[in-house]
Amino acid sequence: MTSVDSQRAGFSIQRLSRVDRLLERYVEGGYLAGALGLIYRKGKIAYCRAFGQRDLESGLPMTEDTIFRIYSMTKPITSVAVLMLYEDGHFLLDDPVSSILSEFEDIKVCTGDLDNLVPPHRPPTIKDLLMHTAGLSYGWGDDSPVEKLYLQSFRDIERHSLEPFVTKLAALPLLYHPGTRWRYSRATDVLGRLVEVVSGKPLDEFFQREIFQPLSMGDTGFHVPAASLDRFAACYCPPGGFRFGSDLASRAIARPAHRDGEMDRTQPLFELYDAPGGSRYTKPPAYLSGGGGLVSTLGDYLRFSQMLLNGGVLDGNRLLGRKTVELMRANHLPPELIPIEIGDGPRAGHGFGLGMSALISPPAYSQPGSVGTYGWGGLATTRFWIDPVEDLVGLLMTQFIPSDYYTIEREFSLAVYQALVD
Amino acid sequence: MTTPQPQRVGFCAQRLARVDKLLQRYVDNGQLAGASGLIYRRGETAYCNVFGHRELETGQPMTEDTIFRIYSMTKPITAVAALMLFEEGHFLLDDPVAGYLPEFSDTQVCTGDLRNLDPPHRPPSIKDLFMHTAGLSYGWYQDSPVENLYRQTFERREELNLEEFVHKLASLPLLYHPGSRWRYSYATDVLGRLVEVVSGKALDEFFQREIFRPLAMADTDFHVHADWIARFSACYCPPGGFSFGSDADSDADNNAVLSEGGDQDGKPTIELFDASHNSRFNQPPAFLSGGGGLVSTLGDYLRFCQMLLNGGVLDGNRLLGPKTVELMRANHLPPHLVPIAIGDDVDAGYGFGLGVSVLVDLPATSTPGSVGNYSWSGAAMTQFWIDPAEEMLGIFMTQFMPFGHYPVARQFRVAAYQALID
Repeated sequence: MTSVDSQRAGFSIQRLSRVDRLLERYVEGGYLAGALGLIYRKGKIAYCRAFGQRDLESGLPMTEDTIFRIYSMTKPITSVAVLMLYEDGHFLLDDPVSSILSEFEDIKVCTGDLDNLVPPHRPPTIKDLLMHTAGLSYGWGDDSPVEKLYLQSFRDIERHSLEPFVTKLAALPLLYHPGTRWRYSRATDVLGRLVEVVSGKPLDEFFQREIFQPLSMGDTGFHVPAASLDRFAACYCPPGGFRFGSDLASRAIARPAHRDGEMDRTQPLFELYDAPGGSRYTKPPAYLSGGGGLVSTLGDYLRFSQMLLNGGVLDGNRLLGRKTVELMRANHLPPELIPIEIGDGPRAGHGFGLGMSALISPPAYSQPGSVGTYGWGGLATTRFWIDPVEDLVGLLMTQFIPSDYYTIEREFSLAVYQALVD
Repeated sequence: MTTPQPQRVGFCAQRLARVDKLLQRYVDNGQLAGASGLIYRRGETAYCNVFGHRELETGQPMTEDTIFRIYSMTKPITAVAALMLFEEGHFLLDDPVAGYLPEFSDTQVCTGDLRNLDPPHRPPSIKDLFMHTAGLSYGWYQDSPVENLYRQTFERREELNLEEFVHKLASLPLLYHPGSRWRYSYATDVLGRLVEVVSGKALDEFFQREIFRPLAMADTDFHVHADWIARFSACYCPPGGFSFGSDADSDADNNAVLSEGGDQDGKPTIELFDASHNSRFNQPPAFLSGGGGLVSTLGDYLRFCQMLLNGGVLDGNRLLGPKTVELMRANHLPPHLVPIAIGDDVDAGYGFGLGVSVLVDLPATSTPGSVGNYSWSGAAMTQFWIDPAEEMLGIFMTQFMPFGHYPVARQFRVAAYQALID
């Protein structure tokens, strides 16, 4: 990573110290083991600092080259892969999913109970998959009988490849008619399979050859190679543990107060969720999840973000045309589906583009920012955003599940924007 | 035409090869006999290539100077002619049509059955003719008893001259109250007649003297001149034939995107619809259709588009003032009439200006592009668009009916935009 040049990137060095104080508070107060933040603007690194430990148990510090579970920050990468094949002329975005994945041909919709399935008003399209409007879900909720079917069907999904997953998924009914709702879902895993079928390559190979190698993302993959294991962070969770599908609403909103940082906590407020040594990420997975399977580093994800900020190109390697990136980062949701909502939490002010959220109203979001900012986060409290108006990328990496347990992502974004002074 | 210089105007030559690949595939698969495409930006031809044959039966190759039936791509030319007379002060856009064509003085509206006609809430205006909001139709559908009257009345439309045609049309009821709907229609033929009445010249003469000569569009006319016939393309259709007003929606399964292997059963994929040597286009027609009567070439239509892109002028010959072109290419439709639709074919994301469609909602189009793009197409699968934001335009020409049978025009737009890299 190049040296930090805050002033020339339009930031006040004094005001940027508030980012330090924010992340320090979380670490010193025992809320997080470690954190890593980066601001990139106008071709320069305006801020890059690591705090605390990547692995408390082994006493290893957080570093710029720490490897993180980026979970759903995999989704924008899968979406870029899909759009690369789109540009190559393999399909149109409005084509039915079943034109490529025939498993979806006879898909039905469950609008009430499982005994009364109806054909969809229109078939789910590839664009629906990019937008989470296809009728799919994750199986985390309990507002549809189909949610339970998801839980049953995908209990040991990790043991199989993408092909049987898609077959199983396509055998379940949709939860709603395509295009009528926005619902966070396994759609991006289906897109991963679509990339495999269209390109003829396994998803990991396509990612490596077409995205990670051209962008020099040398530390990004579906597993942590043995040689890099010492850089892999531990992942933490609230006391009492975390499991997918558990009631996320019961969490307490915890936030370190300013004075917290002054009184170093002897006991952390979290527990170990996944140690680097015994992690499932140490072996190549059978299930190549385009929705959440990758590990990466701050530097690698910065390069991916730079490519998007530059309109599809980095260091002469073009992945997408500028107009395709423009289309990708536009809000595609109609007004009645805005804002997007995951579980109980609406993302106020946010619509959705092709694989990422799109900020359409900073006032509704109650945060400084710019209309047109796009980005996404991962379950282990990682987040990136790209602000085309300010020519800015923000990246926050920690390893704490779930991501909305703390409000650190919003606080980080606020600390970044308040320091922008040009 | 000059040698393409893609890199000088922001296009990647390597990525433009995808345009070649797309059009070559249609030709190699036997889905089109021939095709030609052109992309122009900032004073340079970025791309111009031809594929296959203009006539399979005679073995004539597609060439840059091939003559095409441009059908409804006649409409923007008629619209420009009418706007030239508007600029000259002959009428205002909100003037009633009946002020110039008194046959429309007593026009009634049929909202239910033919025995209960109502006077229109307001008389149809000249602007309604530009916008297809006058209450007219084409007689292709079944949703109004007036559609049937159109079919009966215009069974031998080709034998009528424009004056007779407009008299007959004005004697039929409108299908809806002016301004209350958008419906593709004969309105542009009426506009052609208006040009004749106001200018005192036959439409072909007006076009020649006021548009084609100043713009050096020497290969554009209402018929194929004897010495052009050698360059005239044949026109093809799906096996089994095609007729206007036949079920245009039966084309859903012909998505050629995935059929890269060509036709496996050896069945013919196209049949001859209109040969070059005995086409009705070889004689001057009685009916000078401002809605669809012209033949033209890639180069001629490029010059027409350049004139619009330049704000009404080409090589010092000014046809329109820039403010008139701005008005022409603005969306004039109120939100509740957007998007436009022809039958069941919804043009998602598009409103309508004065004789051209206007892109108002990019995400809704599911295709890269720019808000403010204006465009139209012809029944034999020809298309142009002008992108003022990117200072570019694209033209795609083939000869295959009906327009919606293949998604090639849309694929051409994707391929053009993905190659734009500056």
